Amino acid sequence: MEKADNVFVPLNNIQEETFGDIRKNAVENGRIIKEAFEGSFDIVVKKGYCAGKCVVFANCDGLCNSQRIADNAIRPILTFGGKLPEDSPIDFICDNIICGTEQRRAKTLDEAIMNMLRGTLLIFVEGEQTCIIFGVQQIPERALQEPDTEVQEFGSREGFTENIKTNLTLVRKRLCTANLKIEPQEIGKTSKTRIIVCYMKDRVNSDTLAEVKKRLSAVDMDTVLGAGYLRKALDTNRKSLFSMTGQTQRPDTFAAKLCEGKVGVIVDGTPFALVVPKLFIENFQTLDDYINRPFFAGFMRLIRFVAFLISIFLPGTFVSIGLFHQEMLPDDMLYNIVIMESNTLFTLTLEALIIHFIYEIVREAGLRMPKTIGHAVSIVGALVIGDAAVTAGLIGAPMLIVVAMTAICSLVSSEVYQPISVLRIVFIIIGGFTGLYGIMIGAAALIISLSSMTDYGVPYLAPFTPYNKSMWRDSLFRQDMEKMGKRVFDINALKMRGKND
Amino acid sequence: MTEKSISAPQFFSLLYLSMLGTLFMYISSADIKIASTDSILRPVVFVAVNLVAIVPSYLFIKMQRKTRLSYGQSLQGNAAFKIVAVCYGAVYFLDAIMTSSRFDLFASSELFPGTDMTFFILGLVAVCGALALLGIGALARAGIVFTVIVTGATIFAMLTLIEEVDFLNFTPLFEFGAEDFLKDSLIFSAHATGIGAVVVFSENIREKLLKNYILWVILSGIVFVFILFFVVGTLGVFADTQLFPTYAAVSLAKFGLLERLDALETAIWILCVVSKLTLYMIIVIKSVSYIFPKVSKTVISVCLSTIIGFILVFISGDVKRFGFLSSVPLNVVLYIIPVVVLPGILIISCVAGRGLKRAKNG
Repeated sequence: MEKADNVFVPLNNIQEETFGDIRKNAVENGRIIKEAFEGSFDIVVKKGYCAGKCVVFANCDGLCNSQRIADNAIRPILTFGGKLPEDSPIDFICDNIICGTEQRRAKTLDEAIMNMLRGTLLIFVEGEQTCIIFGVQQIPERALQEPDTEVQEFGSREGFTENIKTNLTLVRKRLCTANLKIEPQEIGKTSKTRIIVCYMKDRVNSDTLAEVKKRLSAVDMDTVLGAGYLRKALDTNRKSLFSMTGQTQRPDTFAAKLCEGKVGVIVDGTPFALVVPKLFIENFQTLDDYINRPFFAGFMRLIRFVAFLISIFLPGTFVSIGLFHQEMLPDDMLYNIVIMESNTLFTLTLEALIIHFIYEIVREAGLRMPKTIGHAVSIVGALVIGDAAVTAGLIGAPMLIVVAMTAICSLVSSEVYQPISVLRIVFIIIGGFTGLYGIMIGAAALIISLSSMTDYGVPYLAPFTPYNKSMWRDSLFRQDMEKMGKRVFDINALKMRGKND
Repeated sequence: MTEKSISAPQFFSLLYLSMLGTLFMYISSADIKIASTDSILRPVVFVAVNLVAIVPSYLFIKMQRKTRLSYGQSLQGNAAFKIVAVCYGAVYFLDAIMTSSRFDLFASSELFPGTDMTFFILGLVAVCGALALLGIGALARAGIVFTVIVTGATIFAMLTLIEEVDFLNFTPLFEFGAEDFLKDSLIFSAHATGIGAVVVFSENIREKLLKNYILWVILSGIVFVFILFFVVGTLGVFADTQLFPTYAAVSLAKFGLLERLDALETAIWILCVVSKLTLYMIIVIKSVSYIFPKVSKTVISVCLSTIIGFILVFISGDVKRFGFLSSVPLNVVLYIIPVVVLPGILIISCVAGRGLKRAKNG
């Protein structure tokens, strides 16, 4: 049997075809484009004449507005009755014939083709070695919708879409200042995905900004089809379960983060924007907190934090108390638990692992399946886990309550769901073998590893540790808006300089 | 502020935790007797002794900051300093073994009686070895969180013992004479071996060292008085019949639905053991790195964990070997060397070095 070839090809092996400079012969340019996209019926190349001079138009159908092409470019050019100047007819066409604000020039065919694939119209003029890139984009996109991953009770209902321009507009709408700077970049050898680095010039730390740009330019990938592709590149702590790169679907949250001196990255084709650096406490903060009254906002943040702790430690603690520390429970409670658990087949540890495994499967199925059959899966899941498993003696009712509680708590802070789901399994295993003492050693290791995390010089656990008094006004608790509004939060105040040790 | 620079409160929180860990695993039979009112006053002597004991370390750090030569730089430049690094490494290596062997005894006699806990302790040593690689910055930052949790839990547990306190348990002061009290108090003070680490990490610590040190010693003394008050008040003479009196006192605590809080308390106090062991392992790794700069810290950490593991297996269950490690003279020696002797040598070397330089320059 022949040995199979490696299915992964090194990125350097992928060589892209290049087309060189724009030819003086406009028809030749059109022919090259036609040949390059042979068989692609959406690439339209059309020839015409303007005052006796040959002009070739090329565009990608479906990405442009045909009406605008006809009204603003083709008709004015083809019906032009005057005489084109000899020295620079292309400038004359731009300035006097076509109507539109977005007009650029390309010198190479590669640049021209790339722009055509982004919805612009290319206009080649006979005898000219540049072409006009005319903005007539109408890229299909969905309407603005409420973000489904970050639902707010009182906040805006607008969420990012897949269109980078729309997303930028949503941010601009909220930050009407010249200090909002944007720097476009392209990433991905094949996908050539457009990204925008956003920051507030007067608030951003220059080192952080330089580091972000450096990391982004170091990205060597074939395709970048979502913000998640860049998340790893922006994160220093790649081995950690927790990420110091924030992700948001909300333009208002994104704008607020930029105002805190952070750097944002909007990626074309994805409704999620990235923000760096991110603090641990941010996992428990929502925009609603700034609309609700301070006492309630603080209370809700505390609830979210407690829910986070419950979702990690509750199953492991229950298993360890059940197996090693029964003396901690009152006799009556212990008696009830023993009766219910004695009817089950497995040990508490195995029971906890099995039921969490089933829960994760049901959750994953609920996430991926067509929404129309969602209810069916929920009913089956609820019946199998909730009733049949207990009746069949596979799982005890107390364990079911613990898992249900854990599952609900883990959904409170969706950004930390991934580490939560892994850590709780780890703590179930530790608790099952070593009791509360092992759990505490694990917790100590977790806290120390979290406090070792710093990204862009900002410690992840700030303001808890290192302690920052001024930041406490908006951390686990929130100060009154009247007092908070007088001063602007600055993430860079938490920055630790250098790595000299 | 750099990524591995730490604030003075962060550093002293580690010393506080290590001292609290010692108090929690205080063994009546191996250490001094605890069942008298005198023991409540011992922290007062602890405060006084340790306020004086910092002088050599402080003088060296002051000298060091003047010359802008870090402890690490001075070690790399001179063979005599390297011997000091070996001594620091050796002292804290022994301290790490002492801590883990005590915890081994504690785990096998109190946590899971009758169970061989060697693997559990080996796991703990391995975890601490891995955490030591994250550096003093990570540990110190976590130390503040641990301090809040441990102090809160300890105060809570002790307060739940209020009903159990019997004032008849408080014997007259200086029952066995002032001399005995003083001797025992000095031995008690000698448990603060971690003070020697001030010199090792002086280049990492920012802010006012002396002010924070004084604050730490006084606050620690107050917490120890508080804990010992409840231990003596609850157990009385029985304190000396218990292998681990502090644990025995906490076993009596109950609150609401929770019948026995000792498991919960012990679990929280394990944070002290983890931070103490990790701190000592960081010191050993740092010292070995000065001597062998080319060897990676991961290799040193793995070797260190393995060696400690082997020695623990060797000590585990052997009363004689454990007795030697927990003996008072050894403990006193391990206190005096890093706190008095080594900083003294460093000061003399610095002064002599300066003198030689002056002589050379004419």
